[in-house]
Amino acid sequence: MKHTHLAILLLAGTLNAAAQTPIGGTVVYTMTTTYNFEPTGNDEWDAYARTLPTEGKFEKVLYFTAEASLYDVSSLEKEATSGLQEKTEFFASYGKPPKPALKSLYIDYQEESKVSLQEFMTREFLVESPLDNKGWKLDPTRKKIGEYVCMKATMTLKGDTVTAWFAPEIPVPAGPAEYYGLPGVVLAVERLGETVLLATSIDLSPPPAELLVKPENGKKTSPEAFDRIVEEKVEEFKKNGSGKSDYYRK
Amino acid sequence: MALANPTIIANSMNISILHKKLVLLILSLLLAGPLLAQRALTGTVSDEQGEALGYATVALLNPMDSILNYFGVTDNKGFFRIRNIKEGDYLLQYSFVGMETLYKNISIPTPGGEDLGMQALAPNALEEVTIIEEYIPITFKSDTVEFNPNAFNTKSHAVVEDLLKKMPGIEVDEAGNIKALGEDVVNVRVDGKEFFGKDPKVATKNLPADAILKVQVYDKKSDESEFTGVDDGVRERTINLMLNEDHKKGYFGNVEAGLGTDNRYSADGKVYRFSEKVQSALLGMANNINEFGYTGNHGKEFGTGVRGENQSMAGGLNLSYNAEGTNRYFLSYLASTNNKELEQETTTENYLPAGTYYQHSMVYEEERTTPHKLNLGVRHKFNEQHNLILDGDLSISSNKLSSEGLTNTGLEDALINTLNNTTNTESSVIDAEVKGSYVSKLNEGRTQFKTAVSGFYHQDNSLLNWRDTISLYSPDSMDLFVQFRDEYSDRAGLVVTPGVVQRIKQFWYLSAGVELGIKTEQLDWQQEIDRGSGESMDTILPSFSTQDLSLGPMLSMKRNSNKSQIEFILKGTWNQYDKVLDGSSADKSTYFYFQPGFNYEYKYRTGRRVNVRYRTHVNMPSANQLYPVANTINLLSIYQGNLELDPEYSHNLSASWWYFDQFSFTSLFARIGAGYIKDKIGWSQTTNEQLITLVSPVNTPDHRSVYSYISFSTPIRALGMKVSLTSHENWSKGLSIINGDNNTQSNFLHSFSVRFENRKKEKWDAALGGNISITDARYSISSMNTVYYNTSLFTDIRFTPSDKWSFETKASLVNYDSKSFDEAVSIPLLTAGISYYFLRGERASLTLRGYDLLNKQIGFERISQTNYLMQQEWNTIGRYVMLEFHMRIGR
Repeated sequence: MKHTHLAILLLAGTLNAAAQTPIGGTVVYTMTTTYNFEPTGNDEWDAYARTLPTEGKFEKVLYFTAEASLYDVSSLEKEATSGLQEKTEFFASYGKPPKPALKSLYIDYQEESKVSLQEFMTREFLVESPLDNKGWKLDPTRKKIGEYVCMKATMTLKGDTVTAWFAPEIPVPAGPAEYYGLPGVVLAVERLGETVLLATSIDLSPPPAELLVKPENGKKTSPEAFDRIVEEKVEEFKKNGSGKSDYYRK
Repeated sequence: MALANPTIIANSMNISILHKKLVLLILSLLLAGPLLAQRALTGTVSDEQGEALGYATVALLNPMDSILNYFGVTDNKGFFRIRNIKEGDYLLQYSFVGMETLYKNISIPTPGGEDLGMQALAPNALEEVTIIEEYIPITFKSDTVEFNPNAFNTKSHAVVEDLLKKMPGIEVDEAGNIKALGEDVVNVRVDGKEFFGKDPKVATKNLPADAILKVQVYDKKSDESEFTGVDDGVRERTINLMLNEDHKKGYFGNVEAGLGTDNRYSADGKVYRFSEKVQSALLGMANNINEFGYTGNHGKEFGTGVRGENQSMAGGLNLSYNAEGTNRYFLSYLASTNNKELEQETTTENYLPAGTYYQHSMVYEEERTTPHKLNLGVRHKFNEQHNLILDGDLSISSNKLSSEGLTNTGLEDALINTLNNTTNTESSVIDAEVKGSYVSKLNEGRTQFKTAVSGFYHQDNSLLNWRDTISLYSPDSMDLFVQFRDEYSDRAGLVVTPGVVQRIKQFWYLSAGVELGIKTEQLDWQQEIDRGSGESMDTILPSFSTQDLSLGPMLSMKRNSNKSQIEFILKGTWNQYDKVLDGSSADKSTYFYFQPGFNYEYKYRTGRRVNVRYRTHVNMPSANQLYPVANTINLLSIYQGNLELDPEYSHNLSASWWYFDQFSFTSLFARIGAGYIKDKIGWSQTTNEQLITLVSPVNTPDHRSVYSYISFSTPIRALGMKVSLTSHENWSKGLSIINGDNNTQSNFLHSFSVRFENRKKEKWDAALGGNISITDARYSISSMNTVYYNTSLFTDIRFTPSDKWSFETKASLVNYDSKSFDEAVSIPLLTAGISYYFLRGERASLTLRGYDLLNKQIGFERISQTNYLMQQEWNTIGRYVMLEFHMRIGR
């Protein structure tokens, strides 16, 4: 009897043995980007730049259960941005090589795989890869975010130190964007000394099943092929004179 | 994958012990492989009192660098399980808030089995309960904008217009009128700011192409919505020219002078200065080669070229002052004078129920216009809550026209009448317009009050004198009429629109407003007719005035998010229209129109957008259309207004789709639309046996139109080229009354263009393209099916072998076919030039340029309207060769 009970538990596939209520929830994060226009020494531009908004706030959402999580940016509807906000975003990205934007990231904790929907130069790509060990290091420092006592973890990403604060009280290894794989849901992320993401609302009722689905749009691409595509386009961009449109004469 | 322990499986299968051992052996062998590599760990965590600790973290770290490899979190009973652990040595870490973190070395597989048992944690060394700090987000400089300081070195002295001509989806006609994605460009801004008021051509024809960093084409939302943050649905097709960095320091500009054969000359000078507070521009130009650096009174409509030979001169100034923040005040002034000499030949084929008649006319005109234009603007934000936008335009111009013409009208084989006419007109026109809006935000922006006021005044004072000699045949007669008319007309109006926008909940807005207007129009003509016998007859023409009082309440519900906008508009307009003829009321009509509207826009992905728009519009008849007195300026074609005219009510529906794939640089824009006009003001024409016509405007039951516009462009990488395709389709059907019979006219226009251009533009810049346009015009009173088409080919090649030299040639061939017209017409145009650059930075150049080297250029047009087909030819600048000097000043 005891053995069969154990067998069932073993095959149940949940992290916690005594899983009475299904674990799940929705976390909404705010990402603040500060627009800082360095004085260029050009009076007219500097005066104009001073009139633009200095920061933009963006909302991101994470749906999770013990089996899977979906970090979604694309489906959120927000208040329409004013023309000024759009203009500022344009200036902030002007002259920079094209960058892929993560639209959503679906993680299957049982299959140990993830699928990300990347948008690059107005095209959508579906990149599937196994979950990797992020290389987190735990730190005993604790801070409270909302009502949750969070632990600190750090890792190195492309040479920068990333700090994540996770809540062991929500024992799902989910987190926004690439910041997953910790013993609790990540509620804040810092990078380069700035707060990249901060949870503003945490709702622990399991999200509706229709929201937590694997993204399907986009061209299926392997991670290596996708990196190559990005590299090629960045090369092309650098050769063609940094983002000025095709519309110019040389 | 850690499946069940083979022992458990065997036990639960309930078989004999011997078989159990066998099964165990088999299962162990089967499951041994994976199981050997993977292990699990279980245990419980408690405090020193043995109380279970829930939500404690148990982690397996790399002993070398402490990187987290596996973990588990305890449940409310303190129990944890970690699965799928690979063999190896780890650092086991137990942690819990308020407790000392415990570390132990551990090797997997654990010798004692996967259960670690209970682990107690000691409280934190500090006596007091650890105070957990609140998390405070740190913000820091994150996005710094770098500007690419590389300026473009355009060797040619191209202006912005030359850049625009190369952009897909943008069409620029001969006169410089611009259409972007099928719609007229109303606004051209420089760095987001107004430049020379509302005249887009001053920027596109004068700003040097090398001063431009980027050209943006977009539908600009109103200035108000930038302030209020609420999209009010106003969209103006706008081109924004972003200036290069180094063109924002100090002065820049250029001077040009050229002299050529046939007494041709051209001179041009422009200076710009952009500084922090003040932007100023000064322009001056003079030439007799039909080039205008601004919008004159000619060629305002897209597609009409510059006619005749023009000698023009203009000078202007633009000043913009930036106070703090977004406050700015700007003013511009442009004065010009133009002398035009035009010779125009017109041939028309006119359809009547009884048959067809023909008309041929030759006109020679000399015209001088001198307009002065002043624009003012204020953008002032008093504080976060109050914003004022004000725009004023004033234009004063004087005009002198003298013309001589000969018109012959007849049937296929017989001349019926001849008109010999000489006219002299002197007029002065004043045009003033003021528009202002004031917005106040209350309730943290949730409620907004907006009051918009607009007023206009237009006055036209003309003195006309003309002589007509009319000859009639079979029987023959000849009459001379000398007429003189003093015309005075004016129009004035004031419209006030107060309104409020209230945010109801997230994304939803309700707005209510009312439009109150008063518009008046006045006509006062005095006429004298002398039949050539010396006796003059003073005709007292009755004065005429109209007054239109309007009241239009409006309600709209709108849902605005960053992905989609949808709006429903309900509006009703009452108009009280009074007509006063000769001092006494001739008619008082009241009209009511229900004007619903709808807007939908959906950005379904980056670079993709759809839009659906429905609007209605009411068009009141003008005083000229109503004035019931015969206008005898042309005694063979007399125009008489119609006092009974009702307003036109039109419906317009359009759907558009934008598709832009940045990855492959492919763009597609498609639009279809339909229009329906009820009570369309059309024509009623009566022609008698002498082919003298009387024309009057009348309301016709309806007018329908359907159109489509598609523009597609994509690079062909294999060939190093870019291709653009454009297709226009336009169908319209309307009614006119010819000699009492209903004539239905339908026009079907098909137009298709293709353009190829090379992508790498280092030494060669070449473009090749063609267009075909087919017009199918049908008139129900005529059995003839008129189809005519024209085809054109063009090429534009520029070769820049080195910094010092460049060669350019442009060639085009336009063919008008002969079907439905007497003959086919072919117009080739060839232009070539050689430029030599010198001085530091190649700032100066000398160009030898030949225009219309084959000397075949003529102005030509074929159109079909109402009940006639018309072909018109006019003179234009012919062949000349010019030597030009050009120098960049400043940068």
